[in-house]
Amino acid sequence: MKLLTVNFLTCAVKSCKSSLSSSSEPLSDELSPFPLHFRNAVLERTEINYNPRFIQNILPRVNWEAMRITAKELGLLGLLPDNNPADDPAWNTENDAEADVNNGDAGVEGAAVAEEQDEHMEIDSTPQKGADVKEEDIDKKGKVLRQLHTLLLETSVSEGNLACGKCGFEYPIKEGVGNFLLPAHLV
Amino acid sequence: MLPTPSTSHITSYEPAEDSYLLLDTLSSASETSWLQTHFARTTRTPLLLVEPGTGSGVILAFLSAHATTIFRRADILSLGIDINAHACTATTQTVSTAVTAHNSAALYLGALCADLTSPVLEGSVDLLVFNPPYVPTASLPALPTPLDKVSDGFESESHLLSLSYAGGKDGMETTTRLLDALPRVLSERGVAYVLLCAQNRPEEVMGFVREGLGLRVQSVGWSGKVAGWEKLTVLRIWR
Repeated sequence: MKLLTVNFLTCAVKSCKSSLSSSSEPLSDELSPFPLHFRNAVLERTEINYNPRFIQNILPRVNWEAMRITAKELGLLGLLPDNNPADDPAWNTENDAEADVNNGDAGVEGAAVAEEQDEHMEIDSTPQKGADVKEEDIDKKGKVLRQLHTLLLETSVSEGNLACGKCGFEYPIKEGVGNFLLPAHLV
Repeated sequence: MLPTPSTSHITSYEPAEDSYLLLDTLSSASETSWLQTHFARTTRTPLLLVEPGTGSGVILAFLSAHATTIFRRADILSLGIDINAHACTATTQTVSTAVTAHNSAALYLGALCADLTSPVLEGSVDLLVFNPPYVPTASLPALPTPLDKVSDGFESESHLLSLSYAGGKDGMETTTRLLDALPRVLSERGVAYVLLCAQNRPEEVMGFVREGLGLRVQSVGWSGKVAGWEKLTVLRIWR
């Protein structure tokens, strides 16, 4: 399962779930059923075609605070900026210029544009004479997107456990499949 | 017409008429048009697709592979759930193969072994599809627990297989639990497609969704007319 999956999961035990909906700040303490905590996780990396626009589109969906906790537990915090780039107005202006990224007609076209952009980034990463501040920014943004691509899209957990911070129940992950079945007394 | 994902690797949970009705409904001109308006591109946040009870994974694979045609947007995350670990493995293979074959950008998060939507975070699901165990049966098979020994024996196989069709009283015992969970798991823009058979009494179910759950509901797909009654019905349920 992709690392990003834990962003959409909570403890399956009923009393834990209901505590989540009644609490206004579920992440403020370590005793929350969200996010679940990885224990003894074995990480796997699957290469996926780099599409900067796709990863940029995913970002508004990421619960950053929860993802920070997850990344920290796995020793991958270095790949995650302190704040969600999607909340940065500078990123969003550029995003708006590319607003047709989701255009259904542009499946192939979109991929082509992404490749083109990718090439630009390769070029940008070698300093050029007369490179202005803006190009440096693009370079920095490209690096951040690359790291987020690796962390959110390419990294998955194949073995380990997911533990609830509230009740302590541990859900096993085997061959990439998390098992959330509960023993009868907890259902 | 969009191609159906390959499930040639599936030996036990082969997709049947009900799965194909869901695929036809979700890719029909009227539903894609409705979905594209509902999930308009102006909404920045990507869509989370969840299918509890994936079985072979053919529906989740279809939606993931043809996301841009159906939703007119490519920013799709998909998550499969099944109570049977074998189905989870099959789902991952079906979805991954289809996504690669159609060069889709949709991100498949993985498959979880769970009872319906039990581990899904509140308010997170944008699109849920459910092809339930809808056949009326005298009793409901017991749900597996984590302590059950994983066995490939005939008894275990037939028990797991019975979970994929046996619906208990009126064929509705599992579907009712899923419907009850919808107000919790659906996002503000969340939509669910649920398949029913005639014995499930679709009219009564629609009344329950409206009055009992306070959600909107419309019948959007049918197949197999028997003596004036539709054999199968697909409901669209949304906030």
